Amino acid sequence: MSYYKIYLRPILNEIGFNMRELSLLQETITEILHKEKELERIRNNIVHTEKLLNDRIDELPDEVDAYDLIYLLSQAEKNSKLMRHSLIFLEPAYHGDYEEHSVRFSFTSDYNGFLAFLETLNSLPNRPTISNMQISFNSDEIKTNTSVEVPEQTKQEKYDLKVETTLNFYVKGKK
Amino acid sequence: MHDINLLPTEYGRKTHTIKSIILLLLAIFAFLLFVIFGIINPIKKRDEYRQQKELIQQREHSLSELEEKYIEDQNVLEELHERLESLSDLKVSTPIYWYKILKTINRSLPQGTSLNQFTCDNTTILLYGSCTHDKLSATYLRNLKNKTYFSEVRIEKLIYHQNDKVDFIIRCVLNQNTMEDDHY
Repeated sequence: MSYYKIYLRPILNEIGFNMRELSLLQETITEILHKEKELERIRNNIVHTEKLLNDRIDELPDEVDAYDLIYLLSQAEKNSKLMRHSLIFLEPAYHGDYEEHSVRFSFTSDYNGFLAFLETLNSLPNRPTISNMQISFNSDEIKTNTSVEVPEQTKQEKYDLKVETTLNFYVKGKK
Repeated sequence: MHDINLLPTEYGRKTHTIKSIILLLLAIFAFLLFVIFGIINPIKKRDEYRQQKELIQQREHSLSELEEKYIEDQNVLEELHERLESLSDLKVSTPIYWYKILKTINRSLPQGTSLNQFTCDNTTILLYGSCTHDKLSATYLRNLKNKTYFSEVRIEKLIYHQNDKVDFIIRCVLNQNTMEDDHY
């Protein structure tokens, strides 16, 4: 009896108390485990996203200046029969990971020449994006009431497009 | 020849030793059981629960730290996603995309309709054109509406001239989902 009173009962009491506390802490454990899993998922995601980001940045050239842009555009113009009017170099925009070097390009071309120009631009190693495009169509052609894409050579020559567009070239940002 | 003990059993030699050995062994066994289950096991169990509780309490303290790390990492991830998104803009509005847009706009033109002007910012295209009948501009609108490149197409204005000619302005909102296009 004294064994129970002096020895076993306090131990059993403590066990019971701890068990009750443990069951109360069960929710916390679940929450901790869930948080730990989430944290691990986020960390894996961070590693994956960082890799993707670095890959994308590595694809960009290190630098581009007016010389490169003129050279690139003349490359693109080779097969497109463009009549150049102006090339305005806009202020570069800095976006952290990359820089945007834009030029406002104004030229005249026929429909097929313009499409060929777009195709060549797309195949450039430093492919630009296009924004704020304005195309005016030759008024002579309107009178003929035909589609822009005209197969006959005579109509193609008549149908001039006056194009003004912004070409945006991208390079790696300087950190 | 066998020896026979003719003494009554109470005077016979008692087998004290075997019995007492068995009893002693039983007592030792019982004592061991008592020690194991009555003394060691409860202590073991108590210590086990105590340890578990302490461990959880320690981790409970680290929960707030864990939450801080979680928020911190989530912010880092969001920032990385934003940076990645901004880099994705470089694949939007490519020359080949505009090549396809121009082809679509041109191929959708019905006979008897022509374009005078095309202006666009990065989200909207305004098409200025002329046609011989207003029904043709409506057909052009329908043709453009059926293309996936535009999320919205609507006629902004029709101007009727005396010689039956109609000038129109059509507004096309570019579909952002089709803007990222590397395939040709």
